[in-house]
This record gives sequence, C-alpha cells and structure tokens, in this order.
Amino acid sequence: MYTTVDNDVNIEWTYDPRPLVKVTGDNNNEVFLVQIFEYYKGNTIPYLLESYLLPNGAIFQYNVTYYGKFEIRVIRFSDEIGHYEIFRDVYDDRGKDVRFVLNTKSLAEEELMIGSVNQYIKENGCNPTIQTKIYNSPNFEETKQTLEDSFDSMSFDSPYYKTFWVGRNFWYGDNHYEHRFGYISYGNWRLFWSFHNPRDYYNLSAVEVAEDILGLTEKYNKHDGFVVTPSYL
Amino acid sequence: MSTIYGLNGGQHDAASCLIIDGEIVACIEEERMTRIKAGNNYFSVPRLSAAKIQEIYGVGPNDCDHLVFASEIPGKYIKTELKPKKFNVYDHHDCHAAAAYYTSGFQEPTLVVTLDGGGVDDSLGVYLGKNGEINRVLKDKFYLNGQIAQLWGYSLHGIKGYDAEKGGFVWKFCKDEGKLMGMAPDGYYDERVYNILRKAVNYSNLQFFPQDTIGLARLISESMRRMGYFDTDEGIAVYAHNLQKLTEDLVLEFLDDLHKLYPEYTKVAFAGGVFANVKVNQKVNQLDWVDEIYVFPAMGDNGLGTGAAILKCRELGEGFQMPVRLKNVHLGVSYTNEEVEEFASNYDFKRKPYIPSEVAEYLNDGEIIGWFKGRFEFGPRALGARSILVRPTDYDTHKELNSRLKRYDTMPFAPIVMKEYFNEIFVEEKSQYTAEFMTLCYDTKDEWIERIPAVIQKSDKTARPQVVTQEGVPMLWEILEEYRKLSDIPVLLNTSFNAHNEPIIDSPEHAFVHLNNGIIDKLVIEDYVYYR
Repeated sequence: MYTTVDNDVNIEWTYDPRPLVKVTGDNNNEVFLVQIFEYYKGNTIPYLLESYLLPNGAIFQYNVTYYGKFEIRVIRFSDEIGHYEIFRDVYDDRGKDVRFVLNTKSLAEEELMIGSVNQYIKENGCNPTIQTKIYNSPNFEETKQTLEDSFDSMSFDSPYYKTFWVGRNFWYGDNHYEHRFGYISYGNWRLFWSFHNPRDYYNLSAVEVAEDILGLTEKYNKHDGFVVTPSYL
Repeated sequence: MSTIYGLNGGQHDAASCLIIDGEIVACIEEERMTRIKAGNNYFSVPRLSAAKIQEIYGVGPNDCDHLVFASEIPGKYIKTELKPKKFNVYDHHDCHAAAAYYTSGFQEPTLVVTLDGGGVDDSLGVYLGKNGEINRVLKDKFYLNGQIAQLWGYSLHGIKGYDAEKGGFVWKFCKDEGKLMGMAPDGYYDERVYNILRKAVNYSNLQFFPQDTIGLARLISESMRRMGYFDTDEGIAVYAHNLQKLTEDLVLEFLDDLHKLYPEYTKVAFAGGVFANVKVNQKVNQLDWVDEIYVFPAMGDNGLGTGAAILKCRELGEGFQMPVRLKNVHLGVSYTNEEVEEFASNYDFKRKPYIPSEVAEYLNDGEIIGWFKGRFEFGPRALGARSILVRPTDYDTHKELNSRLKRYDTMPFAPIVMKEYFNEIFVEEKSQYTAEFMTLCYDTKDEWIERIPAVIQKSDKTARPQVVTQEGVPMLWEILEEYRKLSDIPVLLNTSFNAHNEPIIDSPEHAFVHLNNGIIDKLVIEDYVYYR
C-alpha cells in the first residue's frame, strides 16, 4: 500500500506477513517516528507496542506474524509546533485478499484448523486463499520454504493483505520479550512465544493453535486498565 | 526475628539490602562493586553487592530467612545463578513507596508519591500513609502513561547523538540526566520549546499522557540536534531550562490536584527517579501547604530492594510498623587502619595521625582533601564517607576541581552545612531531615552568596546542601566545626570522591590512586592523613 502525506512524505506499508512501514521525505536529514499500536478485542483504546525512529527512507518492521489489530502511525517533527501525526492506518482485512497457510502434516489437524479459518473468514469478511499441504497445494513444501526464507526480507509487493501461518511454525525469534523470565522491552507490551505463535504450542491442540494465530481466543482480563493477552494466561 | 535480603536488578541500578531483626544493616549498589556506573551497565544484577554483604554479615541471599525482590525481577539471574528455594516479589511502586514512607519518620498523615520511568506496567503511584499503613490510591492508566523521566532520559540520546567510535550514545539515560539538569539555570524560558516538550508529556486530571514518551523524546531531541539547536551549550541549556520548567510545572500541578483530594495530608514523601531532581523537590518544599518533604536517599531503582525488604519486615511484624528516621545512610563497606595501610604500602606516601584541627587548616589554606571515613554511602550522593572536601570561598574552585577530576559538568558543587547554622544561610527552613541526604535545593540568603561562591549556583543562587548533624555524621560535623573556628564559615564544599564517569570510590585502593595522580592534595582515610 502506498500514499503521499503532508505534501512531501511517501509512505509504503503492508501487514503481510507482518507490519512493515517505509517513510521517505524530501529532506534526507529528517527523521520520522513510526509507532505501532494494537487494539485488543472489544477494546477501543490502542496500546503502544513499539516505536522506532526512522531515518529518511528507512523501514520499520514489527515481527509478529499472527493476528493483531494493529495500528500504524507516523509522526513528524516541526520546530514550530513540535510533533504531529501525518499518517494512521488500522488493520482491517474486510474485503481484502487474505491467505491462510495451514502448516501441518496431519489431515486430522488440518480439518480442525479449517474450522477455525472458516470462523475467521465469517467474522472478518475477507477474501480467502487457503493453501494446505494435503488438499490443494502440490508445491506446499516449496511454498512453505519460500515463506520461511523470506521472513527476513522486506517487501511491499505481496498480492495479499495478510498471510496467516496457521500451525506450529518454525521457531525464529523466540520468547525475547517474555516478562516472566525476566526480559522486558519498554513499549512492547504484547508477550509472545515466537514471532509466529503467541503461546508455546507444544501442549496445545490444533484448534487452540489455530485460534491463537487467528486471534479468535484472545481473553481479556482487565485489571486496572491493563489487558491480559494470551501469553499471560 | 529474621534476616531479610531485598534485591533489585535485571534492569538499571541493581542493589542489595539486608535487614536483620528489623533494622537496615547494609545497602550496597552494584555499581560500587563492579566499578561501572549503573548507566553504563544497564542490565545489571545484584551479584557482587549481595556477595559483599554476605562476606560482612555471614548470611547470603540463599541462607537468609526471607529473600524478596522488587518487580521487575532479574529472572535469568534468579533461575540460573541464585536458585533460591523460595522468594517473594513486591510491586515496583509499592517498594518505592515503602522505602520513602517508612524511612521518612513522618508520624502525621503523609502523601507518598512515586514517579519514575516505568515500573512493570505503570510509572506513578500515589499512596496515603497514615498510622503506619500505606494504601495505594492511584496508578497511571497504561494507555496514557506519559513519563517525565523518559523525556529526560531519551532526550539525552538526541542532544549529544551517537558516538560511533565508542559504540554508544554520548549521553546515556540513567546516568547523565544530572548533567542536563545542571545546565538548566543557564538557559531561559522559550515558549516554543516549552510547548514542544509539553506536547510530549502533558498532565491533566491526575494522569500524565500521551503514550510513547520514549519515542517522542527521541524524535524531538534527534530532530532538534539535526536542525542545529544543540550546536552550542546555550542551545542545550535552553532545552534543559524548559524541560526543567516543564518537570516542575507538571509535578506541581499533579501535587496540587492531590492536595485538593487529600487536604489533610501535608507531609510528602517521594521516591522514583523523577525525585532525583533536586530543583523539583525544592519547588515542592516551597509550597505553602507542604509542611515537610522527604525523599528516600536512594530514590531511584537502587532503593527498590530496600523497599521490598521493608515490606517483608512489616509483614512479619518485625519492624517499620511506624515510619522511622535514618541516622545516616552509611551502609556500605568499611576498612580498618590495617587494611588501609596494606593498600598504602604500594605507594611511597607519608602518613600522620588525623587531627581535625590540622586538616581544617589545610582546608582553610585551600587544599583539596580526599575524605574516606567508615562505611560508604547508599544512594547517588557522597555524604561524608567518600567525599572530596574543599573550602567554599573561591570562585575558581569549580574550574580547578573539574580540571583535576576530569569532569565536564556544569552542575555546581554542593555544600555541607552544620545543622546549627543552616537557618542563617538558607531561606527556607523546612525539610532539613531530607537535606541530610542532599535531596533538594535551597535559596541562599543574600549575605552568604559572596561568602561561599564555590557552592552556589551562579545563575539562580541556589545550593544543594547536606545538613550535617553531630549525631548523624559525627566526624564530618567535627571537621566542619574546626573549619568554622578558623574561618567563621560553617560550610565546606563536598563533592563525590570519583573521577569523571566512575562510580563513587569504594576501597582505599581507589583513594590512593587519586592521591597518587594529584587529584587530591591530601587524603584523610580513617585515623590517618596520607600525603605525597
């Protein structure tokens, strides 16, 4: 996706497979603040996840690939009026092309996962493409490997609004922000097991894994304003 | 009765505290042991400080009766190194508040306020302290969460930028905020800069906002540096001045709102990094409705372990049932004359017995004296255990001392003042107990400004005194008295005993290096004076 804002600032962004933003202005010496927020289910207040100061032309990424109702904001600075927002976009896949890759070798699991995917499609109204190993993807392993290999690459060219990796995904970037084991990253308040799964999946059923990734089972236990996310539970 | 270890670590300012039978017997910051300033060693754990306390008292975190932590806990250290059978964790802000309230000595209703860069999920706490109990009445809403401390901390990165050769920011958060604050009096109010900053952290209706103070602080300071605002010291001073004014305004607006809600609470106790700001504390102290303020001497996260241990102590019914007053915070490591002499044997120094009147004469003659007495202090200030003392009467002392210590701070040096003469020298008379720990500024009376110029801020004529009582720090009081007899001035300049970018010294070894390098002229160390 692409837009020009504030007369001279070009912004490219995507949510596939994770939030990615590029900000380019006319002034090479300028920096921009890119913020990523998240709306928890049923909550109208956006919570800051992370922000990054971007030199002109640089790219910001937030590595989580599973569901989040993310909001991207770009903030600019003027020495006359201070900081001001020049761009805001909220994740909304209604009517958009969304790909679901069912990453399991088990037919039984796949059938269970399909149920969750159908529920997501029904709730969100996206235009789905479903790729599975067993039914309709003869090149599934190749597709899967290509996606894994491309995790680190940054591209705004995907034909999909979002790709969901539904399964026990490859373990890349695990657990770095886990509070309970003593790590904390300011501003990054969503806790996750890996970039691809919100919870440790070893003891979860296929349905639980799928619902986690699709954001169907998020439980919110408000206490004094802080929202508990799946990995807290 | 029990032994209780209170530890804090995992992020900045790790420290260890030991309470035995309801009394705080030891508190040591990790930076004193590692010899790396906390701000240069961000993710530290209280490994060496706990070991040192264990060495002194024969009881360690694993064999004490109760081990407690303040959140956020150093999980990896606990799991892989400490491996305790059992431990308790107390809330970050509860620990700040407990440390502040239960060492305030306040028997009256007390408003306890904690403000910092962020605990686990909040950056402020308001508690009501009454009859020995504290109850939290306010925390910030996470989705608002404007953090004054972060505005200071992350402004530092932008102001001085990144030094590729050293692989880090020139100014670091949790370390150099004082430098920026020290420049504030040299700046001036600029409505535009003030408003820019106020958009990044604002306050209304008991909440600070907006979210992402860190990001906004970085955007503002980095952009302003790129635009050339910080090319001169004057530009930095203007930023500092307006940031300082904003901080004062926000804290005062917040406190005034709290006072409207709780008008009977006229004593105020503080902890959290924001209250390392001595000018903010001064402004609060000047409020008419405030009877007295108290700031916990280790007001940053270095005080969290102490707060946790106090909470455990109260739970057990073994102490701190009502707030007490600290005699002093000399809770670190001490050395015997024999141990000192062992260190001295590496050098060719002369030595003679310490006679206070003689040392007072050296001071009166303008010599720079290293002062090493007893157990070192807990908290960021040198309070007469590891200090450098100089007469306060010379304008040029600032330049001379900075040159010897290789410091580049514009922060003025602080005075130590005999309690008996405090009211003669300073305008406000309130809150002298907290001033024993050098936690707030005072306006200086006109007649003293010219007499003690080395310890007065040139622009605003304030000073950050340590009130010295005969009971609290007897040897420091004695040298002040001897100097007063000679000069008729009951004040000395006191600066921390450390070179640029180092923590305050710990052992005689470090003190002798300073003497050997000519940083100090003479070294008073325990019962002797060493000199070249």
